[in-house]
Amino acid sequence: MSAPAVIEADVGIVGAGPGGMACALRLAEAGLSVVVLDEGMRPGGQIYRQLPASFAEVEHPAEPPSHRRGHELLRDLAQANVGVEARATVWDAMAPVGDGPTAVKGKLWFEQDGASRMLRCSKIVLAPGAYDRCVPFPGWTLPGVITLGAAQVMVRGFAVAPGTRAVVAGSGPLLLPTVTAMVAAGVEVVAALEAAPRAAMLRAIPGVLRSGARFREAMWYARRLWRAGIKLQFGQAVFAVEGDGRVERAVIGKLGKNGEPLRATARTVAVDVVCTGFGLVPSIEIGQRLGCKTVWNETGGGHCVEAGEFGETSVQNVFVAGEIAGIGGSEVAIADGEAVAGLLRARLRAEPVANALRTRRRSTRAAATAMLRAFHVRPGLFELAEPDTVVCRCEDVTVSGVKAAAAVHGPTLRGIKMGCRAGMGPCQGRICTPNVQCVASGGRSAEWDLPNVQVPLKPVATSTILDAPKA
Amino acid sequence: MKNGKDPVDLRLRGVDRAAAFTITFEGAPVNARPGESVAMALWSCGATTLRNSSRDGAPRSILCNMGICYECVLRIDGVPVRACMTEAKEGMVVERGGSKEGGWKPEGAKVPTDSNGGGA
Repeated sequence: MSAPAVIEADVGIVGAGPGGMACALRLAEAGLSVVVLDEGMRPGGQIYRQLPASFAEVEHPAEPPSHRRGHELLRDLAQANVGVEARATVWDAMAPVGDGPTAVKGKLWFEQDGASRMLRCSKIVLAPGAYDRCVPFPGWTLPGVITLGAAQVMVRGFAVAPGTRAVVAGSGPLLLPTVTAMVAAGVEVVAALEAAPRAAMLRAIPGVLRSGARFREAMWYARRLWRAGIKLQFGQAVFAVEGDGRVERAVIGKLGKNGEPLRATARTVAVDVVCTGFGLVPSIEIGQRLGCKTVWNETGGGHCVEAGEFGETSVQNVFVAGEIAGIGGSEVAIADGEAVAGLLRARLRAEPVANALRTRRRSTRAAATAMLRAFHVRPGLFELAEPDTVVCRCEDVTVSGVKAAAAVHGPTLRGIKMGCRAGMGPCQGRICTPNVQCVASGGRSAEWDLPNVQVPLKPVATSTILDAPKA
Repeated sequence: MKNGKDPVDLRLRGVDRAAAFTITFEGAPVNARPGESVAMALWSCGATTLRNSSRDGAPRSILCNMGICYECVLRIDGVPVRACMTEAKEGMVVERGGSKEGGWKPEGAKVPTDSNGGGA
């Protein structure tokens, strides 16, 4: 009954979100064998999260226009000849080398339900998505402080209310869906705070208008907020969270020109949950492990895998789609996934690639970038954290710990890590890496060093590594 | 979260779930529904502290809920796993991760925790 330890496919895809699904469907149409590895319990990724299969919706919650495409993709995926391995955590990878009879297949090692398995394939497409960027503030480790993504998983993925009274605060396009999800879950949203000033938001408008889909999406959310009587307040943030063992109060207030807290404006609200997130960070570690060249792209969320016009990487036979090549959302991910699939299909038939795929990929990305430019983590936000505020949550390293390490070993990621273990816990630095150097420099450096990639790419059981199928 | 009167249940209506089953958390029975993650089953009943942090033993809970942050790592039948990525199954014995006293401290490493400890 147990699944085979080694499975084979022409193309191995990591991530069953919009990019991975769109790519898989187009490849399967062309007769290629495709296996998608995804860490979630069901395909869909974060944006098209599905309720558990055993849940039956009695009332269908209202959904934004973009989710229609998600339902189509999920329905098509269920019917297509595509292997989907859910609950699969990829912990090591090796790129496929060469083409034709002398080619050496690529490998993706994954842990699934405690078993150690491997996917062998001729091409690898990485569509692993992204995760919330956090900015530390006093009390952000208290139970009840969750990311914007976490709140959406609770409501849309499990039909669970994150709490009863909430502050939703941070920056970027995920604020609106999160507030909407909270309202749908019957949570009283006491304040919805966007850290970017109103003037910056106006700069996002041309980007939104460039994409009809994005405009309709924004309007859909705006209507929901208006109906719920919630106003998004600009240039404001959560200064601190307080409580005995869990969130009881949030201190909120206005931000100055550089994003610094204007303490005189602080006011305290009673809440039991605080949702926070300042944009997204691309998951690039599998790309790094495969040797893909990365590029710094602040609007794209930080370090991204460098991608060509059809999602090619610097490594032959390895391709990327969606957030890993720069944050852009589901529209971009789908365009990316279809571009990669188009390229692989054309190569199979030794035909030129349809120009339309390239054009669509470029234009959706340009529209996303134009919008995302409005949001960036302003340096003053790093003044929120006090000396004893935890920066690295895994290792309990505080602001003063990070600063002391930077003073001795230098303000590099490596120096700080060496001096205080920030980034050396089980999350492998995913949460604190964007912050430690900013904290050390008091927000003067917005950039962070590219972290070294470590195997296992996520913590897995020793037995998974020992029992790993041989290359 | 517990107010002593009604048991907390943050599950939303509008969804039909299959019959509940029981897991234990820190020795106490907790209801879970088929398909739920362990994290969501615990969160739904107001059990927010899933682990104590490695050095100072502070309470920690779900941060990302998508398998990135490892804040919800606890022990299920003795094995450390992410509560948010693990489906609840009948009879699971769930215990908090970490320890209240705080645990491992790197030998010889100085980790300033007071406000005067900063360098720069």
